[in-house]
Amino acid sequence: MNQQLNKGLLAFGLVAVPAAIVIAMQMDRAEAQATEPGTAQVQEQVLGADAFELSGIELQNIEPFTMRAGAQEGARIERIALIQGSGFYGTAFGPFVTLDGVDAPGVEMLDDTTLKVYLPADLYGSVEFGVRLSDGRSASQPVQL
Amino acid sequence: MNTRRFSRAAAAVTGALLCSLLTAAPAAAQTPLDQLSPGPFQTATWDWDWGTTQTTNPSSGQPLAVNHYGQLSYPTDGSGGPLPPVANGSFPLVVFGHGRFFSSQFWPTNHLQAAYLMERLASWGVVSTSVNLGVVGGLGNPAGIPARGDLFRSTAFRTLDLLNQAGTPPAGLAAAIDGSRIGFMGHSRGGEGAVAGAIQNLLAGSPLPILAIGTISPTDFESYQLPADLPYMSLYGSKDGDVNNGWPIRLHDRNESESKVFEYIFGANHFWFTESLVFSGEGNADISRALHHEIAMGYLAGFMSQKLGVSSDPATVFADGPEMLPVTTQATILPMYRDPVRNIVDDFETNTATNQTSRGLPAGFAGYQYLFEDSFNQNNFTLYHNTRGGAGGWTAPGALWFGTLPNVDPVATPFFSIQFAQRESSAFNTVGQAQDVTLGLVDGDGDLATVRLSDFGEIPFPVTHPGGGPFGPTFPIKTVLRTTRVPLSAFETANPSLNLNNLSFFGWRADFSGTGELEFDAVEFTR
Repeated sequence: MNQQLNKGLLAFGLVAVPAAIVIAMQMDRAEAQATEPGTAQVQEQVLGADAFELSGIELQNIEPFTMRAGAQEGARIERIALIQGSGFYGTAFGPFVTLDGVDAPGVEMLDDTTLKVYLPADLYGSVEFGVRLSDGRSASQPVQL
Repeated sequence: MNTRRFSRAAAAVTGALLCSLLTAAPAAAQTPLDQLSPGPFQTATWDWDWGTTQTTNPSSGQPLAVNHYGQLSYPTDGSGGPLPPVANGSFPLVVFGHGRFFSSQFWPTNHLQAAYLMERLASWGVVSTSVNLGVVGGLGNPAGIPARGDLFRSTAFRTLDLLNQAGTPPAGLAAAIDGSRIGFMGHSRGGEGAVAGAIQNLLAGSPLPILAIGTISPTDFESYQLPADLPYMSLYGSKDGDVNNGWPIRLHDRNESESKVFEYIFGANHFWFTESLVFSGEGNADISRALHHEIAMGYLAGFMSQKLGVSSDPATVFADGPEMLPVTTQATILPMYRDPVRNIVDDFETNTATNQTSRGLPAGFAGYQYLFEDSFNQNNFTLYHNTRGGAGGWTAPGALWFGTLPNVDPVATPFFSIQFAQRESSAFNTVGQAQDVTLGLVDGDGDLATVRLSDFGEIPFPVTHPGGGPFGPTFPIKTVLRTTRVPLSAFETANPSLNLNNLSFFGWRADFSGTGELEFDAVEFTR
């Protein structure tokens, strides 16, 4: 193989540099041990221009089920929270809801003033509900579960 | 995540930075791609409402009935009456799904936000229907992507069975649609929904003959992977302030599609691909909304027209083809192009030692401060790809990488193709300066022919955009590979002694700047 490499270097007008090959092979060995890293103007419709705030959170019991997807797939759900407020909207992302800083198992936006949040069955006590919009605005409110 | 090698590269900065001034070759006169202009048909629209359709709540798994409605654009003879008799069975079908722009006042009409694209397709003889996905837009997390796939498929099935649906379709329309040629297209979550619909169709035994998928800034919640036989195109703007996490690049890279194209558009954002939507979080794009539309019509309507048999243009036009000059002279658009007919020299996915190509043939380098192969999925180094490649940094002109060639058929694969990118976070690269290299081919007799890459496509410095808000001081900067195709005839012109039927080596040499770092991938000969 080195003979072929030297032939390649010579073909491109360079003096054969065996050292380069050696270095390359050394790098390969070192790298093999490394872990892999991971038209016409129209009237515009503006999303995210409305005032955003939280006004209340209501808890409801629901027919229990197990989350079928998402980051908490498999979590048992027995209750939901209805977060009331204003200025809610969704783009490709959001609104994001966290429970004590952890993403809620499931979030559905019912309309601009209500978010439906699925709550893990084992979550009790005082919990900080955080809501963040995809433009970065956020608000939070504690709730006793 | 291993950041060691790119960290080592970043730490190896020495020497003064030189810049090279690039001179692009004058473009030859060329007829623009057809789909950059309206087609021969006048168009009309029909608003359909078929009651409800079934999908599934992604959280509970419970059945979910949602309203099923949208708008269909179709070719007419201009009289407002029946379609031309010649049209019977001759118009393929595209189903489009919009992005999520979910607020009470907007979502009921979100399916009208790609009307320009639907109209352009219809003018070229593609029946195009845009389904409202706002009916599942309330699904925030989980994102409801499979539900969108359900709506794509339901829309296709019902459109192909038009006379049995509620309402009165335009006379002649049902007979005009060719149910053997279907494409799915979408934007943002609707783009991933198009992919979801195609995957679901495959899992169901392919009852729908889906021939192509087209997306704009698709999300990638579900990490889907399209199969080799399903062509794919994607558009993505550098100033996308919604799907700003590089997902469209990863989805493209992951797809196994033998025919796929990705277009990275400097200055384009997420929502100006719509008719009228603006997202306060991303603000204005650097190119006009009208140009967003021209780009989408040219690339996506062109791609769909090709794959659905309306146009006979080769897909290579989307890899810097002069046919795209009406838009590529107005915006920097970097193509990543994969041709189904290709002879791979090195894709860096296997045989990852730097002294071998992925084909297992000898490779080597000289004159670099560092050269290694690694994953290009390292966000902290501005790399958002889902592929492996080579990275080489130099501090003096003349650094060379070369690989031994497999047997090359210059008739079957008359183009040499390679991907390059400058890494934004490498201090070896000069902010705002394009890089350039010499490409060389050597034959079995040792004859060397060289051409300058920038005569066929430059390697621009990654674009940056001041941001603010949720993005910090700038929008996320992305180092994105660009495919450059060089006809083998150019090498032959450079050195008539070069025997294209007996090629031995390919190499690229950093001749034009004192320092630099380039990422490179997909070294191949293509159609």
